[in-house]
Amino acid sequence: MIEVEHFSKSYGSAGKEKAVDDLSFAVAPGDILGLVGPNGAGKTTTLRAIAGILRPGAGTLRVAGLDVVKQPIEAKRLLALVPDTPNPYELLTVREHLEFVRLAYDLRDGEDPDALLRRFELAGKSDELCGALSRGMRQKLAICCALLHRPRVLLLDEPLSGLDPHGTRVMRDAILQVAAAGAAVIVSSHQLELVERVCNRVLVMKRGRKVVEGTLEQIRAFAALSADASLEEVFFRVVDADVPPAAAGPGDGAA
Amino acid sequence: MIARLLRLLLLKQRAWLRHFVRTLRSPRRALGVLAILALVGFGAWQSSRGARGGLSREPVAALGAMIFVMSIAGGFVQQGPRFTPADVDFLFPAPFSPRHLLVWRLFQLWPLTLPFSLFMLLMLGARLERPLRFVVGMFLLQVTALHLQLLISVLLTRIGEAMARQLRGAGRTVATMTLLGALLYVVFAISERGGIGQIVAPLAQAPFTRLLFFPASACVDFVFGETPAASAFALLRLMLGAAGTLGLLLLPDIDFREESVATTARVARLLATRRRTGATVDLESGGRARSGAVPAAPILFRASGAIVWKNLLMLVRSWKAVVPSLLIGLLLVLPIVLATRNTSLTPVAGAVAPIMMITMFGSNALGFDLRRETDRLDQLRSLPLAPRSIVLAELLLPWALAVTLQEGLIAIIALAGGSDRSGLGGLALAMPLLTFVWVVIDNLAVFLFAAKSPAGAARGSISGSSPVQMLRAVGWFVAAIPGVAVWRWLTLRSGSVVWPAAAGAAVEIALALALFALLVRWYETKEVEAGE
Repeated sequence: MIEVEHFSKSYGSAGKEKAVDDLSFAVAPGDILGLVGPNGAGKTTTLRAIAGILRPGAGTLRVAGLDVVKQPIEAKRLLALVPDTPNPYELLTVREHLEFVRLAYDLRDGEDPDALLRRFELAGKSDELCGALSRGMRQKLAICCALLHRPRVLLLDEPLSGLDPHGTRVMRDAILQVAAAGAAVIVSSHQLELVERVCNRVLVMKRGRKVVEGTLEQIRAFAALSADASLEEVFFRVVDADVPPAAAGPGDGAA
Repeated sequence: MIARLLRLLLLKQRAWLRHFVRTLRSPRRALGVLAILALVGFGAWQSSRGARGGLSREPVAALGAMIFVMSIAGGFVQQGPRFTPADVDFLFPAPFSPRHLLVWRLFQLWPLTLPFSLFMLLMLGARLERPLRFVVGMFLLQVTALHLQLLISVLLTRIGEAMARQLRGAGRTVATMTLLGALLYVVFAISERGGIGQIVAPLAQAPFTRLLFFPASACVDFVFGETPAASAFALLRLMLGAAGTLGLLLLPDIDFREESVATTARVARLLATRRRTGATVDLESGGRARSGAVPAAPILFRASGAIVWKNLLMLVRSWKAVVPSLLIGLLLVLPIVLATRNTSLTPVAGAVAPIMMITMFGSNALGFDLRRETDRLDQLRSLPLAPRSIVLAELLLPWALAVTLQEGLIAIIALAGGSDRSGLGGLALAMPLLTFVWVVIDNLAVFLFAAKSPAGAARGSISGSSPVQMLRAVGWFVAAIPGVAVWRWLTLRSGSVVWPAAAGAAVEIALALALFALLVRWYETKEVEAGE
């Protein structure tokens, strides 16, 4: 469903700051991939490139077989991105924001907006201006907007930031439900507990390159840790160790 | 203590000056400042030409009364004077009394009254017999009004929140009514019937009015004093007014700090929201609105039409900010119509500057386009829409509103005695095309030249900085040249009306397409923040 092949991206006037370097991975329908890594690892850049917001410097990114550079509109119809800092239109109400997304995607069916608002405890806020929402509420609105058109690919960047315990549980359940319905999901997060609980595969990035990819068991084995080691232990072992970049972890090349 | 405050002020001003000089190292900024200086110099040179005089007491009295009322109304909308957030964070906890804090605020506000006096001098220059007296009189008038404004806001801290809210509403109503009244005055003044000077003249001389608007009447007496003694007496009244109101302000030493903290926070929020969205809604204090203020008809607003719908909603919710901006714009523009009516300029040539000015004001107030969306490019780009559709949809509303404003102004000029009705008709036909070019230039100028925020994204301010404003105006002027030149050249050679106009329009259409393609390219390739 998601295929990333030799993706690279640089910033700066001369392209000297390499954000992502030769990254390849794939996510199958129903899979939830956890994208983890320290600050500046290139996680957000990768998600934005898959969403067609950033142009790749090199490589190919495909969503359901559609090249996001060559067929951007068709690809975007199938995917949804929840950014790390949702920035809704302040002067639209919550309901109008969902209506805006419905119109922009020209949806004739899709999820019921009222049901989504109820599920994410936004029903009482439907006439509130988005600019008056707290960070957590904005996060919930962003996920509602993302789910409205039933995406086949869901990209989540720090989905739990600003959420209360109830919101965290609802969000976690929503991610699992979307995957269970056959969507490919990528969750980028610093909250390793979330990744450990909802993701069936994990990709660890460092300085723009893949360090290791695979199931938790596979990367435990890669880090030479016991079977009961937590993802946090694995993460520190893998990231702090001077592992050569693109070390071709156990899941490399596996879809 | 005052010496310490003065040292602080000096430190702050020196830092500002250093920052200003540093920004001049950027060629773009330097170009903008040079453009401003050139424009001001041109205005001053224009003002210095020709015979002086012609301005009567009534317009100055009306202007003075308007400034006075607006300032007083400004006092009623603040319960506790507004400071900067930095003042609240660092000076409020410091060992300064409320009186010292007021002095600190005045140190910053007094100098700000001078630019307005100088601007009015620039506008009215040639029509004033005594420009220096005008600047001094206006300065003292504004200083007195400022003291009263602060005094009212300090006294408001002694009353309850509910009463303060009511007074705030009354203050806003008075300010709006004053603006409308001033606009009506100007519209009547430029009409063929000769204005309402005959109504204002006796009103300005009535004892009650002179008492109520005492700084304005003293200012007029000072500027138009027929004998040195009369002028000196008027100046004395002005100075006594400024000093007396300062005494009234500083005497009570009321502790306003708690209310000022709230006022400063509220205004800072409003300003931040207005910079981002153009709205005057205090969003963070629980803004609610009725959903569906503009029906989301799928026939009209599906796909990229959703962006037009979104912008319409933003406009509906921003009228409180938009309407006063447009009124002020009209107030400043209409006297130019009057000024050009009695010159050798044709009505069409005379209409060009007012149209550009009103479009500039309108563009700043009605900029519901890509300029506001620099922080949301990732959101826009993730929509399943072609980049050119998104950019076009974003430009549609400001273009339509600007054209409406222009056509209204052309109608006023025609009604106010423009004899060249066919020329004005041609201008009315040409403006939609030219305005599209201008709207594209506005967006390009802000994206290419606006100051960067620390995070690297262009600032949310839709108008950008003053140099950006100037560059936009220059861009507008330059963009109009090719089409007008072709039209003019062909008209002179052929004597025909239609096909030179069509050729001029073709040139401008080509220019519009090229600039639009450039804007779309920018939208597609602009890097959003790097993230992680």
